[in-house]
Amino acid sequence: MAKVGWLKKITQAMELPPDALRPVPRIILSGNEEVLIGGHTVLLAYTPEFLSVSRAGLRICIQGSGLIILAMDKLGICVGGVIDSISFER
Amino acid sequence: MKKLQSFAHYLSTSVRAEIRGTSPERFLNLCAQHEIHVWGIEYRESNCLRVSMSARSFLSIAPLVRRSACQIRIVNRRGVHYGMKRLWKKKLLACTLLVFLGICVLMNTMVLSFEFTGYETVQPRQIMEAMQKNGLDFGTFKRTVDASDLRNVILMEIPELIWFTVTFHGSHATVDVREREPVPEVINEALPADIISDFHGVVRDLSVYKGQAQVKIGDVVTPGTLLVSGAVDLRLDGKSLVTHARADVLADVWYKTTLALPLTGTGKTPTGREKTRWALVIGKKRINFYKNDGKVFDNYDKIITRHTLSLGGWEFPVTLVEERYIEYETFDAAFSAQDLAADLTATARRITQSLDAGVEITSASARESGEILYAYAYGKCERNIGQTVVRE
Repeated sequence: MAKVGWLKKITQAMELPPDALRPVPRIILSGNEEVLIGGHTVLLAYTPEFLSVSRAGLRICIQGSGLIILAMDKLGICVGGVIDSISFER
Repeated sequence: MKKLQSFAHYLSTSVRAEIRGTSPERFLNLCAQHEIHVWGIEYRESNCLRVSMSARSFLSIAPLVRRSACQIRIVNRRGVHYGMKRLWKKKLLACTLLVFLGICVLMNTMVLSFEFTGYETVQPRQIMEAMQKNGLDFGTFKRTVDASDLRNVILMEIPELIWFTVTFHGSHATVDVREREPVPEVINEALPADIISDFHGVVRDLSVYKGQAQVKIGDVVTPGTLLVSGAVDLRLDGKSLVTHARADVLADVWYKTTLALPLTGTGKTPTGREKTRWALVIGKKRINFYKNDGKVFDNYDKIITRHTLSLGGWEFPVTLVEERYIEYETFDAAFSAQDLAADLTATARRITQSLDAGVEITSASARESGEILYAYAYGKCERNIGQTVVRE
């Protein structure tokens, strides 16, 4: 944790993107139809109304309807459907 | 993009599998960890998901299934490979496919269409007839055709051609020809020659370069009149020098056109009855889809429409022929001379103007005589009437 804090300070000091040195998830949201979470994520729960993934200690929760995992591999996960909200938990 | 991906998945052969277990999510995480690409993950019910993956990946997931304490079963197989296997099981379809492939291969060895390029005055029909005579026709096997021999024979048979090649692209034959340029007639200026008139006219200008003029400006000449003689008087004891006469003889010449049009004739009006016949022409073989070959009506107009099978600009020797017969009745018709006079006169003027370059119409008129309408047009122009004739 101390290492992460130290890296965070460096990235902030050098004005680098947050995910340049740390495993911060990069999330690309296309309207409310598709969300792409980059990096190796761990799928925690999945129903058509709720999907939860974990990435580097951060839990990302997606709520919506008709959610479907369009693709999933080591590079990321792509979720389609009607997305109502995305929330984060530590 | 998704359609493209689906197509790529179809080509690469994929399976749709159902995963059941206490934690199907764990199985998906293991797949991601082992770089197994899965897509189309669909929630079916609690503890049950459906996923798609490549057939090759499916063969290597057994350990992951065991580790995640799940059960997996194939729901559907997709892809070219499985499609072919399914087709193979249906023997009739497989036989049909084989027959079709055989026909394709057979057709590829035959000439089914022709394309002619490079011709100007020689018609493709003439070239085609010469080729047919020498063994190249629709349906001829390509291996029986010796293009080199054919070229030699065709060039002998059609002297207007200077170049002939036939190349085959599949079942399509491209015939490329070049025509011989006409060789201008060369006059041997060493031979003694006269210049005579080749037209009626009045001489307007005379420029003699060689020879002795026999006419003067204003003279009326007829075809064959000696204009410039090759025999030049030397004024030495009546002796003369024979030479090759050269001169430009310009004369006013006149043209006349007479057109006649009967004012009574037979008109026709359609009765409304029609009949259509169909036939299929494959190469030179015609298959009629009708029984009676005789006359359809007593009086009829026949309209033939040909629908040739073509693909990508290439025509195949398969033509559907539509013959439409339209019955008509005849009646005696009388035409008004006044209505037709202007049109007939204009036609006479146009024909007169087309007879020579620079023809100016001097007069045009129409007159009715009996039941015939006559139209006259007179034109005048200036032209060279001299024609070189070698002395005997």
